[in-house]
Amino acid sequence: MMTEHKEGSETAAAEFDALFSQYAGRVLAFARRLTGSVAEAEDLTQDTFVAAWHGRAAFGGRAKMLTWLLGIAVRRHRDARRAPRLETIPECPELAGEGFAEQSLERLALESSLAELDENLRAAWLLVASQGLTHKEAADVLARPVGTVKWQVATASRRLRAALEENDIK
Amino acid sequence: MTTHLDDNALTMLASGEMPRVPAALAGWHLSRCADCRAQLTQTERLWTLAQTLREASVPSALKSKTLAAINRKETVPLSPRPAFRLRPTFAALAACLAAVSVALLWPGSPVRPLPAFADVEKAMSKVQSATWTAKLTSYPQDFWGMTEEFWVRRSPPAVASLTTEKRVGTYRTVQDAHRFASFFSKSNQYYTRSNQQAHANIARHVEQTLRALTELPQSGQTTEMSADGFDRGLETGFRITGAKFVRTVTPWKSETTILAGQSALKFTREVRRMVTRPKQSQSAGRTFHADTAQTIWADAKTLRVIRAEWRQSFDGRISLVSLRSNFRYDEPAPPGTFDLAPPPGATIKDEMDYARPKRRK
Repeated sequence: MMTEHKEGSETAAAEFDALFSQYAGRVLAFARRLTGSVAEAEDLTQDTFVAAWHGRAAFGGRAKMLTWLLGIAVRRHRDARRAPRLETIPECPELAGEGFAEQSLERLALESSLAELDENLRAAWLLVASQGLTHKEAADVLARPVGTVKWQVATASRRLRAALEENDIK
Repeated sequence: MTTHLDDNALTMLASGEMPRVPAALAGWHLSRCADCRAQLTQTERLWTLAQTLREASVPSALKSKTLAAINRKETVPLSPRPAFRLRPTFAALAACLAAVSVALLWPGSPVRPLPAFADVEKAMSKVQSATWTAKLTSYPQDFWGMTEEFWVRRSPPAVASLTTEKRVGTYRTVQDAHRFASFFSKSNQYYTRSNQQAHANIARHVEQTLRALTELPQSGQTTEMSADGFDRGLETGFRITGAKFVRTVTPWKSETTILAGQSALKFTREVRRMVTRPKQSQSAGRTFHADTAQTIWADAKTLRVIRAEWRQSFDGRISLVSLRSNFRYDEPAPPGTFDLAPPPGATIKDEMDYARPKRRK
């Protein structure tokens, strides 16, 4: 009995290790730009994996695992946004622990312009352009029509292009 | 296809999702339209850049925090390995800390109390001159920041600085008991003034700077006031009319530490500022926190300040970091440090001009 329990524990732990090591970096990167805060992004990533673990039986494999996880992250983020909270300002890349000096000026300009985008546009653009989801997958994650997501990604792209050109980033 | 490619077509092409027939038509158009080719190149460049945001490095603590959160809900049995591995690690860490602590305290008496911050102020009151480097960094996005090389002299009172300001450029400032002069290299303007108030301010500034590197009130004080008539811009970083303002300064906490390989004393305190916005404002009655965590390191032997760091935050988010380091005391200042003659071609501004300087670009 004890041996079976131990074996079950080890299997579950191995499954969690695999899930976390494969997707945590992607979820965290998305959450960081979505929330604009390192602390909130880590909380959101943690919440996402906790919810995913508890609800793993519901994952039918129809969507990609990454799409499913990002969908959880988006819903959790929306829930958190509805709760009363203090006004916050985004953190800087240096304090985000990403190695400020290692980042290119171009990327810093992108991060800065991205932070100024409306959250809906930002989320849609990040899912498609950064996370590599198709527009259809992004629409599933965001629970919006594909047409809306296409418009959001195109609008965000235009604004980011313009912002980068304004900054003379070549 | 004769019309130009719209934003949607550009993103569909960049993401590789455009169906084959429309893609072929777009390709035909692109082969003839330099504008659309340029737009597509820009979009693809943006897409390439976006790939760099795809993955973040995950802090090692995040996984253990997540596991702990799952464990709290008692649904997942966890691998005993991490806990098993961590235990000796913590034990080793604790042993190392204990050994370092003992090594730091020995041969001094472990029961002897640490010097208080008042002892640092006393040591600093004996200093005749000092020089240091100050670096200010603002957040988010580092939109403003400066580096300053300071020289301060107690007698006669004088302060000289060479400032490199990110958005302005480099300028020199000299303040002594008889005048105030600044030279801005970009605008080539030389400001000067001399009056009784300026003398008193400069002398006080020198004393405060040398004594404790702070102009804030004593620790342990709580001040409550209306923000009217108070220099809110300096204190809180934003201006609010009719706001209620409460400032609390915690007592200094001291501990021994090692800084740059030398034994040092570390003093920390919090300056907490709570601002409640007036009822008529947009965010009526809301309370904001603009706090500063102050840390001062002093040499364990001389008790003179060797490093100072101010971390200002707004509602818990860091907004400004001021770091002063490279302190040297009672060294002769380089010739001309406290002299500032108008450079050739500089515009001389009198006191009235200085009182209302034109905004620098």
